[in-house]
Amino acid sequence: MKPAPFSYHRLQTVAELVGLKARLGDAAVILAGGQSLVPMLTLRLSRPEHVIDVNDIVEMDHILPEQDGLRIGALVRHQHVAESAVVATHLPLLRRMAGGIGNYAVRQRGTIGGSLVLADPAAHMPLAALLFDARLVLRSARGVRTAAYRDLYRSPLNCALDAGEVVVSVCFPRQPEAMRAVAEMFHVTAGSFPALICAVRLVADAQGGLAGLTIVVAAGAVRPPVMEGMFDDLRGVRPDAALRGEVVRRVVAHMGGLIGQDAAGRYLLSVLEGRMAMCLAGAAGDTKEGAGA
Amino acid sequence: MSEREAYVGQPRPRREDHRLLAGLARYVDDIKVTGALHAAFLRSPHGHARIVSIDVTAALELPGVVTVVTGEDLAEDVTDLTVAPPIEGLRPTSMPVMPVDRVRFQGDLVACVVAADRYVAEEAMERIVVEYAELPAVSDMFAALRDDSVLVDEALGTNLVARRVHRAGDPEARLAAAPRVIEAEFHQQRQTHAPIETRGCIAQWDPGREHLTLVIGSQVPHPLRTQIVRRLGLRDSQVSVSSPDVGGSFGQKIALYREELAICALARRLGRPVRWKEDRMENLLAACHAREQWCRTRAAVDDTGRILGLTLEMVEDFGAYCFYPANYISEVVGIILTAQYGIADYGYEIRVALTNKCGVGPMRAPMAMASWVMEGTLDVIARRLGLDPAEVRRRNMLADQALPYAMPGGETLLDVNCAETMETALDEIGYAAHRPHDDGRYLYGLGLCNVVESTTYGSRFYKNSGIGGSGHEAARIIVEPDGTVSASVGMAAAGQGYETTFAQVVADGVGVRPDDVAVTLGHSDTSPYGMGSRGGRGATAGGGALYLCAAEVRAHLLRLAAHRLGLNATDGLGLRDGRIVWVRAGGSEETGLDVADLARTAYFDPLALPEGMRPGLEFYRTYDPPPMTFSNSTHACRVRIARETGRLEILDYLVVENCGTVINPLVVHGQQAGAVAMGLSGTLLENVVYDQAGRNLSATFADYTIATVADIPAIRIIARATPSSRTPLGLKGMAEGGVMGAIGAVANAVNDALSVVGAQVTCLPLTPMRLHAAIHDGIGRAAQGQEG
Repeated sequence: MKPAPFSYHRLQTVAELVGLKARLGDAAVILAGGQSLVPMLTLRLSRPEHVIDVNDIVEMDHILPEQDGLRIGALVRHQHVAESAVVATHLPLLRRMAGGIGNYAVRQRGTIGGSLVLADPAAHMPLAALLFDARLVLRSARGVRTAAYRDLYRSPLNCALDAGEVVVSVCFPRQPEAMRAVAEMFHVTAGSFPALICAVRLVADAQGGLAGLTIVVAAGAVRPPVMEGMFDDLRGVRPDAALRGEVVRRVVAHMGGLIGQDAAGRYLLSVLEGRMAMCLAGAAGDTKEGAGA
Repeated sequence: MSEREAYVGQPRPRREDHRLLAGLARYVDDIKVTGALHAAFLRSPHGHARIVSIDVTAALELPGVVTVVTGEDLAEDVTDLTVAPPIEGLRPTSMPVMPVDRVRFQGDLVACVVAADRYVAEEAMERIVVEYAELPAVSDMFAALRDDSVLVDEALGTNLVARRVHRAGDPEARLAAAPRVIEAEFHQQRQTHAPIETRGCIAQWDPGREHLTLVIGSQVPHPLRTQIVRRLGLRDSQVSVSSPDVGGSFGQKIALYREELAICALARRLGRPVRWKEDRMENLLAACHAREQWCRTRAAVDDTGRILGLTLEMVEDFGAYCFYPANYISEVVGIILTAQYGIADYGYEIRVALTNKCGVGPMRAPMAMASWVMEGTLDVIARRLGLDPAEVRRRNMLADQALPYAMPGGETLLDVNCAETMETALDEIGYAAHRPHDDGRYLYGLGLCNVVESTTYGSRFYKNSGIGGSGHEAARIIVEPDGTVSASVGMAAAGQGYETTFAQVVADGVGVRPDDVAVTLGHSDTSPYGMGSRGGRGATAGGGALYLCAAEVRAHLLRLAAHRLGLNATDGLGLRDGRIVWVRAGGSEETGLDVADLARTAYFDPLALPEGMRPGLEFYRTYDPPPMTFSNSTHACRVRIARETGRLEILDYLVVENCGTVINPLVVHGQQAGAVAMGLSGTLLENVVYDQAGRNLSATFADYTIATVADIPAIRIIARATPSSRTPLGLKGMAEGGVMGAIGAVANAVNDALSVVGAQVTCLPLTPMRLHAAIHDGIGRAAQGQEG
């Protein structure tokens, strides 16, 4: 378990990073928290010629409330998100999900940028970014652009950055007052990847009916689907138990088509059904139903 | 405070903890050896294959590579390991240090690279070109036992490496005549030890003295040395084995493995130090596995639940190679199965299969399955007959006055208080008020597991059972010239707290303070030849030998003191905290002499010694414990299983334990809790998985799931100890029973809960998915408890 030989670069600024990445292209990988990359290197599943260590680039380590949302630097550790008062104010669910990642040691190292770029289908941060339709701020020698994470995340372990691009931060859009977001994480052991995460973002209209509903589920080895348009016909309806039952049916049916119906798949769908109901009850403000969350 | 046992029984903090916790411990990798070369092993990617050719040319060309050897190269330097004790039904096996023409499991050895560092060695490994001819593999023990199976070891002509049959009374006749015959099945999955510190060693050959020094984390430095000298054609005096701090062993660090032997041979061949550290993937793939066993019991019972006769069928998967006699582990399950229950007519048949998987060995409580099988059988009987499980246990349990009891497995049970531990546990867990039930969201169950833990095995056990080996232990105590007491036994510590507990035992035996006792362990040159650490023998064998040796030290010192005081006899003299005192009713009076005074005389003024007493103060004493000592306990737990997810929660877990005299309650508590945690982790999560082609699917910690502290519930431990009547200080030993009890208590609680929906599980681990399937799909429903 020793990596294949590589050249190691340790940089201090984003400008240096962008320059080096432009020069080395795909031959270089970026080492941030290393919680996934280092095992891949030592197992020789990843054999880059160059490893660029970005841990000194402090300009990517910030959490800033902005006019249109919350900006989190790519180098921010999960534990920082989990403990951040700013995140707690703006996106309490994100804070809770960050706190559910791995264990303390993992959270102290793993970074939000690293997690989003890796795009592990079972991971917390990609799911949160999909749920809230976060945008990544990408820099390259060509300049800066932003792109929706939903568009970049093509398939498991495939976050499609352009050549020479690096993630410098991620922006979570400001949420409307009437938004509630709830997630359920199902772990087999403390500290392991969850077997299932389901997350609900529900926006109510002035009458208490559905103005918007987004559901993202991480289960099996598929890219977590963002389920939104499939609820368009439910707009304006009150999210009572009957409606929630209908939503659960649609979600389970949709996931069933994606993750298969073998024993493990059937098990996940069964767990999903219960967790989904719990999430929806919580998001609808039905505390009695959601109490077990 | 009585004169003796002043320190035994005290909860003294572990003296080794400071260095272990402050980062000052020295494990193999902490030991720097100038000029040492690093080895790495190329391993088979296939479950079963013929090696057609190995081309190492490109590897040798890489700068920094010193040598690359194959099995053929090393065969000149090392003899084969033959395991062929004269045991009926056991087929002799033999293996070379590295395979020559055939690999038998994924992870089997193919070649070894020695290079300037591990990075270069692994880089070189990739340049070795091996041509394999893949062979069909057998990864299922039942398939391996079929006549048409692929052969794992062609020299054997069968995969049935051991078949053992034992019979007491006439169980078949009882089964034939019984009002009812109840059958139960139990399947325990393959697991592995996963010590924090993986295997590793440093071998140095001194060509001038022709001497090999091996630094290795080992439980058994002396038996390991014996293995090394035999395999390398050396003499005992030519090898030193040194075991520094060890980061966990759990049975994985007993055998002399092929990797370590190859490193010794290479160090000798190259005349340079060679070191090897196993990485985690190697450890999970290829170190040693354990526990893969299937059992079926058939019980002849009457309508009251009384067992009239019992048979056990057992099949064990031993993997591809035998580092131990293949009956060694399962035989103990057969011997102790009936535990504290009075069953005269009993028989077992054990079959051990070779498969294309990693070889197995003992793992903390190798006989762990016994308690689950016995207690699970009793639960099935109770359910079938509509009786109360505790009552069925009472009806079958031996009365205290029936002890000592000749168990049908061949050992003698005594010094246990099984009824007391069970009744206490029933009270504490709230048994009387419990009924399995279902509140719509959760199923609730309660499980009981009585445990009789075979702790220390004396030489007589090995002789009787035909397993071979010795069960004695050796102690050496030196009172140094300054009065410090240096004590040693042949055991090697891996976190058990020996340095603390042995110091307490020696302190009481001699009559000094524990702080004046230095305990040195783990070096074959400075410790006396002993059988090492295994099972639950530390306290009884190690502590017992030290206590007896210490008593000789005390007697000698008192004779010397009497002489110094001008007395003819030692009557009235005592040794207390290192001082020679007059023992008076209600107290003691100083004589003004202490151990340091006596030591000075013994070393530096021999003419002042009494006539016939030789100078110096070195003592050696061996001790062979009784054939088998037993601790006993009752584990009880309440669980709930979420209908929705199948997730199990342990609501209350308690152990009522009798482990004999407790040397140090803190250490014992740590061992008890640790053993339960290990048992729970194995019962609920851990699973070594192979596919049909013999590929290991669980060779990382992402796949081989181990419980963390966050997954383990609070464990209540209640002491109900009675001393052993046959050992020094009344010691019995412990530290494995927790594993035994945890498996049985949890599995029984789960089946109690599942009984509400008419389901049962017979296979471990009890993962959420398995329990969910049992609840919702009826898997395992009615599979348990068929009447035959």
